[in-house]
Amino acid sequence: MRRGMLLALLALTAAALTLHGCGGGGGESTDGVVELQFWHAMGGPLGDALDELVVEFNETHPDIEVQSISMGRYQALSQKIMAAVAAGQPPDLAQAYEAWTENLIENESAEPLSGYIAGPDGLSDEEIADFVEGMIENNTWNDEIYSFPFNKSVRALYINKDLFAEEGLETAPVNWDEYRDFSRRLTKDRDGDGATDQWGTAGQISAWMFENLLIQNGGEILTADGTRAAFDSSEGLEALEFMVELMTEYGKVTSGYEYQNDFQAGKIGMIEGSTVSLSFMEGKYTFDLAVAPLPEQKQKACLVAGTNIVIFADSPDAKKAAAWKFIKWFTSPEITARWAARTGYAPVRRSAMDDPVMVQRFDEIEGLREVIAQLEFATYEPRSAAWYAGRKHLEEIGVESALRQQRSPREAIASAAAAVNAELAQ
Amino acid sequence: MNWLETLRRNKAMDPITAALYIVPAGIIVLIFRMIPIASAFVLSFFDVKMGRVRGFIGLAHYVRLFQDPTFFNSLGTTAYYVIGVVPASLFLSLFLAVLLNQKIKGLGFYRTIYFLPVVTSLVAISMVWKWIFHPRLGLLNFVFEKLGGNSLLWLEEPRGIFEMAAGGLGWEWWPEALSGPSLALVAVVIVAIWRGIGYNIVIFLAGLQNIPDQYYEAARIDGANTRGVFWRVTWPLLSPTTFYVMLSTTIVSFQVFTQIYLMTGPPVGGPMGTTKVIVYYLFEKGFDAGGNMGYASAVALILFGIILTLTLIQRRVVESRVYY
Amino acid sequence: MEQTSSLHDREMNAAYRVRRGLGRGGVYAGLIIGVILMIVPFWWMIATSLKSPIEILEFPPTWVPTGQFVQTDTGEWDEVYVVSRDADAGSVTVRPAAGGDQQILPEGAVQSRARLRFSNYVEAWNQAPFARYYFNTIFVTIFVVIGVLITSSLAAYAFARMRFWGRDNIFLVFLSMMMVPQPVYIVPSYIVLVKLGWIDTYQALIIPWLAHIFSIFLLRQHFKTIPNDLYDAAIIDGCSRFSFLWRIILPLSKATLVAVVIFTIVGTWNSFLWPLVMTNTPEVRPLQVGLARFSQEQGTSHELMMAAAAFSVAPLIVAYFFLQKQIIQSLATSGMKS
Repeated sequence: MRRGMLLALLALTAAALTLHGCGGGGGESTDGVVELQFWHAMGGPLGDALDELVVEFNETHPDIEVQSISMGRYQALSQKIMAAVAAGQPPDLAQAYEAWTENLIENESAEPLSGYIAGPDGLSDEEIADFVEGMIENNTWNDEIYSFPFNKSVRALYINKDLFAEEGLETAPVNWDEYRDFSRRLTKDRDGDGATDQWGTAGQISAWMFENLLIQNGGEILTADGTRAAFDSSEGLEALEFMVELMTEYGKVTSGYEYQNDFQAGKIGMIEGSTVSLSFMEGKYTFDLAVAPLPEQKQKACLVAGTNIVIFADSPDAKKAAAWKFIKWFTSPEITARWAARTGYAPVRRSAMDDPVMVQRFDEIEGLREVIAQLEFATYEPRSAAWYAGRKHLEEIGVESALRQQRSPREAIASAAAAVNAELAQ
Repeated sequence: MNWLETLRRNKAMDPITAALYIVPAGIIVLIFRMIPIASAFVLSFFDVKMGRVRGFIGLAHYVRLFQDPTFFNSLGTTAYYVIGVVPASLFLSLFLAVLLNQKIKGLGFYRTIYFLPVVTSLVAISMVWKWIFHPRLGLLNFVFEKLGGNSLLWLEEPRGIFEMAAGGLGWEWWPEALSGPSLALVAVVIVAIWRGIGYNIVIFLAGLQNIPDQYYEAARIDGANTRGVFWRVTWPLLSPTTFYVMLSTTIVSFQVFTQIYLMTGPPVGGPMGTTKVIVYYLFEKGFDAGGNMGYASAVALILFGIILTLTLIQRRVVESRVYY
Repeated sequence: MEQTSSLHDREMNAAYRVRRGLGRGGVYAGLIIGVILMIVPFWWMIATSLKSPIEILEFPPTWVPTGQFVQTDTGEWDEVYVVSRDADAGSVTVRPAAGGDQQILPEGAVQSRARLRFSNYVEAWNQAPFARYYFNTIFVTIFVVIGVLITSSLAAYAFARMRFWGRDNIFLVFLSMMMVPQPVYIVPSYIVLVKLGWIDTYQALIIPWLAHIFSIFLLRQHFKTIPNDLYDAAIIDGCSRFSFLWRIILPLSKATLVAVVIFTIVGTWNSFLWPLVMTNTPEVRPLQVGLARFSQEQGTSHELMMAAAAFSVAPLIVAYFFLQKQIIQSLATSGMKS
């Protein structure tokens, strides 16, 4: 009996050691395969899609083994990356927002990529020019490229064509007036019990939506030198007032992605969402669906969101070289097209738009080509670490308190701007 | 030298032999408790960014703490949480324990059920309750609507409950300072009470069963009714237990983290930062962007100071009234 | 006189009995409401975990997982999802669960039946490396339990039975460490583990927890109750100090040791903040952290989350129903720190 217990324990230890390796961490194994840890926040269908591509990379690159490790959420990923860098044990590759990269650069933890791009296994000037407008520039600090665009999304309007048809609406709204008007017409009390049960639109508490409205209205997020808030302008106030009107009178606000479920259930006429929302809704709706570019006001807006991928400077050279290979492979026209077609993220290469996989996807989803074409006038968020904190203030103090009708849009904008300015001044 | 003396000598052992017995536990306590606790103290005087010590800065972290509105908000939120959990949990568990102490049938059954959440992981409990609080599909709103009430946003509601109540009464204006904890925080409080009640019941039951029967008999002979017996016998004789339950629930409540981390947001601590408790704040400061571990340690020490002070105050106040 | 008095007594008794009966009824009513409130979340977890993704989105929700079925020509019942109902026309639009085109059927053709989707458990299990998480948790728990038993018995023996310089002061220092809550030292602990190179290893999850101060305290209290005569007798028999602990004290302390084992298992199995901070990769990630990551991933469906929650809590709950008395006692004492 006792001997049995002891044996079981020994077996368990042996199993743990063989499964994991005693010191943890992986590293270069004896057969010359370079093992890379890649930390990301992709879950659900996105995680599945990423894992499949990683498996394919590992199969086509027998000397490299990328381990895909999901931290579930960006917030958790950020905490894990920062703690790991503090520990001096960062992964080899990770998804990172520009603001995180800036922290990493300051800490000398992000590997400069120019050397790899110019190197034998690099990218030609034409290939670099093939990247979507601004995506390389947005990953460049002081003339040095530190990260590559990885999962980039743009906003789109999702349309329940059945509900639109019922109202005699044939096209997506193209400007704010139509946006408001269509939403009003789509808001109904279907069962006649006196309570609204179909809404024109819905959305989450999102700085991203506000920022796009702001830009559509000709406003700017920060001043040109990035030291002060610029969204507290008359353009910004109009944008927030419009957002509040839309979401509280003809729509409903949910936190998280709950509004997508309502939309899937056929209770919402149209929603704004990320192009990625598509992969979460796939197969879960039963109506005729189309996507469309966002309505415009004074101008069009396409504020790109999503993270980039960085290599950590602390990794040994062999790993960094292998990590670069992964980045190059993943951002190649063919792979980015498949990644985009599968997940809804925007392809990062212009030539990917003509890739057969992408073309087929465009045929499947009505309006998707036009949505992705919004990238022509792509703009990006301010990327300083201070803005990363400031953006939270804009979302919580500005957008959330206004949408939840805790403050008037005017008060909300003013207090958010004050908080952002305080953050930027630090 | 007779055998008795040998014995005595054996008992009065040399420190080296004793050390051999204590060392295994001692080393671990030293490395993983004493050193970290001491380091927390030391770190709070240093500027640490992303794990790199950048220099001694004296009390600068503490000075900044006292000007940090997020810190004070997190303190206030934690205080609301503790005040929400402790009295309610105490009252409900004492009430149920007194019911269970009535020589009822199936005591074991009831106790087993009430205690069930205590063995269930907080992670799972948080997930289940988050789903129950779901504003549109949740069980709780379903029950509320069945009972004729309005559905609520629960974990997504940043408005204070007093403000909501005032609104419900049709009052247009309510002072912002008195809006109270957000409904989202109240939802987290409900889960804490639900989870901890079984534990407190068991402790109270043990305390109740320690009260000798003759006290009850004596009170009854004096003509006391049920309520009189409770106030004259049960309550005073149970006060050491009540004190203990109050103390332990308070201390545990100050450290709330898991429910906040899993039930609120995204971002965690939402909506509008109304559920950002102090332990999550120090977690965020220490491990998120910037990795400001010095500042996080300063927050940690303030938390420790509060818990220690409360323990001492509670002990002094209650000790003077407890009947041992 | 005597008669009136007995009459009075009888009235008193009757009134007393009625009141008592009402009181009893109230007592049971209170307790049963309590039971329902405690049980419903568990029921809800299990019910949700057995529903289809479509049924999840229904409001009002169903208490028992239910599917909609239509009878095929061959007399079998096929599951369908209801797309919409048209009350005026008395028709229902459905989509076959197995895939295929939508059909419009008369209201009566569709029947509700209980439908338990155990496949959700398989799906949830396969969506994340739960087997690995389970293994990690079991592995860590076993080692922590063994370690705690060894270090605590040894230290408790020294504190209870030996006389040496500074004994009580050292013990007091130990006890005072117990007062400091984990969040206070989590940040520096991370740095300590970094210095040791233990971040993201089993060591980080096991070794810091090999000493458990409260267990030392509990065992010391118990060892002190063992009479000195026993010790004297054993020494006369030529028993060494260690074999006295091993052969006599420990067998006499079975109940306390069992308590230590139980609260160590429950504590390790359910611990969250520490492994959340100290692990990164799924290779060492324990069950609770894996479950949390699973639930935080955008797009994880509610029914799969509930299934994952259910199979994560199942082992302890099953054990609890078999050993509830010991577990309640053990956890109740473990909280008695003051």
